[in-house]
Amino acid sequence: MALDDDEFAALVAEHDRDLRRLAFRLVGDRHAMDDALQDAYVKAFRALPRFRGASSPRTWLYRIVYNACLDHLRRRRTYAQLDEAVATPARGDAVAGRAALASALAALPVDQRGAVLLVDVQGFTYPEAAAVFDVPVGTVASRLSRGREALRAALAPTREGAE
Amino acid sequence: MTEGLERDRELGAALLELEVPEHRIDFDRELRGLLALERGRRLRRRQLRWAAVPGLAAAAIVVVLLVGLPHTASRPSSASAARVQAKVRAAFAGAHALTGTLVFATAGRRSTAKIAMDGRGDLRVEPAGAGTAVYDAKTGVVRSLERSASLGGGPLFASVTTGYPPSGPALAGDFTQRELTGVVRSLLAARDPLVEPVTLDGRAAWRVTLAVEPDRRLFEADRVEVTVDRESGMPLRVVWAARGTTRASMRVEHLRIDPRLPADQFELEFPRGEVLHQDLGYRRVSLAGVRPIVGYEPFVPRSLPAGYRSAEIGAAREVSPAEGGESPPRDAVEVSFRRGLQQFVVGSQARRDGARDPLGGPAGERVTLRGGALDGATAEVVIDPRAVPHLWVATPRLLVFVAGDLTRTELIDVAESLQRRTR
Repeated sequence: MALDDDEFAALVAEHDRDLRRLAFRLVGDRHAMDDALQDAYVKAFRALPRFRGASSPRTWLYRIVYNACLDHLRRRRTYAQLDEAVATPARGDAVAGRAALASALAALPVDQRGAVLLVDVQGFTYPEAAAVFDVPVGTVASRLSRGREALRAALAPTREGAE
Repeated sequence: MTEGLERDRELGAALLELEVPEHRIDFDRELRGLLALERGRRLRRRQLRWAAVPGLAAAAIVVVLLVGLPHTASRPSSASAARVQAKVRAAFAGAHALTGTLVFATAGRRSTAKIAMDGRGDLRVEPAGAGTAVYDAKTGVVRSLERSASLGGGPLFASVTTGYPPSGPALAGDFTQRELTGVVRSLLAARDPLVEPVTLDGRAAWRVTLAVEPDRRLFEADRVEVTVDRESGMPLRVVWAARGTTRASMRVEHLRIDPRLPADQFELEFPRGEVLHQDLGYRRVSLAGVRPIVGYEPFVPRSLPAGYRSAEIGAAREVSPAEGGESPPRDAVEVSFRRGLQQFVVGSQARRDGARDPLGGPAGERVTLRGGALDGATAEVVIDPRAVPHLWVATPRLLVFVAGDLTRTELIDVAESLQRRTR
C-alpha cells in the first residue's frame, strides 16, 4: 500500500495532536517539539515513495517522529552540552498532581518515556510499539514496567490526597 | 494476551490530562514551504541518484540533461543541437575536475554555492551560510558541517556519514533543487531544442531554447534557455521564463575546467566537540570481497562503452533505512565506472517483494537480452523524463540494474555483456 501526497496530509492531520504530545514529552519544550516534528514530517514526506505498507501508516509515522525526537536530543546534547532533556512542567501541568506527574515523566529515560506514552497514553499494542522503537516486544514490556513503576509512585500521593 | 502485555489505562488517563502545546504560529506555513521543497527534491532524486555527476552541481546537472536531449533530424536547428550535444558530451567525458560558483536568483532571493568535483567522483559543496559538505568517493564518506535547525540558522553541527554506495550522495543546497527539478523534467521531455549563437560576458556561446510543459507543483516555467560556452562546452547560464517573463536564473561563475585543486579540497576539518555518526551500510571492497558480504558473485560487464574505466565497488549486507524509508535493499552491490565526470553503475540486490524496479522508475520498454549472464532474460529499459536512464532485470533471487550516463543502446550492450566475476 502506498500513500499519495493527499493521504499523507490527512495522516499527519489525524495524528498531529498525539504526535505533539509524544514529541513534547520526549524533547522537553515547545520549540524543540516543533523543530522535531517539522523534521519528522519532512522526512516522512521524503520517504513516501518507499513506503510499501509493511507496517500501518500510523506506526510508520510514529517511528519517524520518535527517531526525529531522538536525533534532536542527541544534537542538543552534542552542541549545547545538555544532559538528557528534562521538561519543566508546562503551564497546563500546574494543576495539583499534574506537575508532579509531568516531572516524573520527564525524569524517565527517554526509551521508557516513549514506551509509556505510546502504550498507556496512545493505546498502541506492544507489537506496534515494538515496531515503532525497532526493538523486541519483550524490550517494550521491560521499559514499560520500569517506567510505570516510577510514574505510579509519582501518582500515589495525588491519589491518596484525592481519597 | 497476558497481563504483562496490557495497557495501564489509569496511568494513561492521568498522562492524557497533561498539556499538549499547540504549534507555533508559523509552523504550518513553514512546513508547507519545506514540503514544497521536498516535492522538488523527490523528483530530482529519482533522476539524479544515478546520474552521471553526483551531487547538486547544477552546472553538471544541466550538462547531463543536454547530453540527453533527443536529436531532431527534421528541424532546422537539429544540426546545431547535435553539435552542442556533442560538445557538451565531450566536455564532460574529457574533464577531470571542475570548480565554480552557482548563483541562483528568483523572486528577490539570491543564493550562491561553491562547488568542486573531480573525476574520482569527489565533491565539495558550500552553500553560502549553510555549511560545507565533502564527499570522498574512494571511501564513500561524507563529512559535513551544517546548520542544525530545521529552518536554518543555529549552530553548525559536525557529522560523518559512512557507507555511501558508489553512486554517491546528493550534497545539497536547497536553491539548486527546487527549480532545477522542474527543468530536469522539461529538458528531458523537450523534442525541438532551438540553438542560437550568442555572446555572454564577452564569450562566444550557444543559447539552447526549449519550450516546456509547465509543472505547477515545481516551477511554472514554459521556456528554458541554457547558454553553453562554445570553447569549453560547459553551461554558463540557465533562465527559466513563464509567459515571456524571467522567473529565475542561474549563472555559473568562476567556472574552471581541470583546475589544479588544493590537496585538501575534499577534506573537512571539524571544530572541537562531538561528531554525529551514521553508517549507510556499504563497504568499499574488491571484486573478491563482494561474495563474503552478500553471498553471491557480482555482475561485471565484459566490455565498456568507450572511455569508461572501472572505479569503486561497494557491497552492503544491509543498507541503512535512510530517513525512515521502508524495505531498504539487502545484499546490495554497486560496481561503478567513470569517464571524466560521468558515471554509470552495475548494481544488484536481493529480490524481496516481487519484481520491482529497484530504482523506482516508471514502466519502460521490455527487451530480451541476448548474451552474457542474463542471456534470455527480459529487461525493462527506462528512458523517461522522470528517471535517470536505466535498465533492470529480475532474476529468481536478484534484481539487477545498469544505470547512469548511458544511451539506450549502451545500457543494453552493457547488460548483454554482464558476467559473474570474482576478480
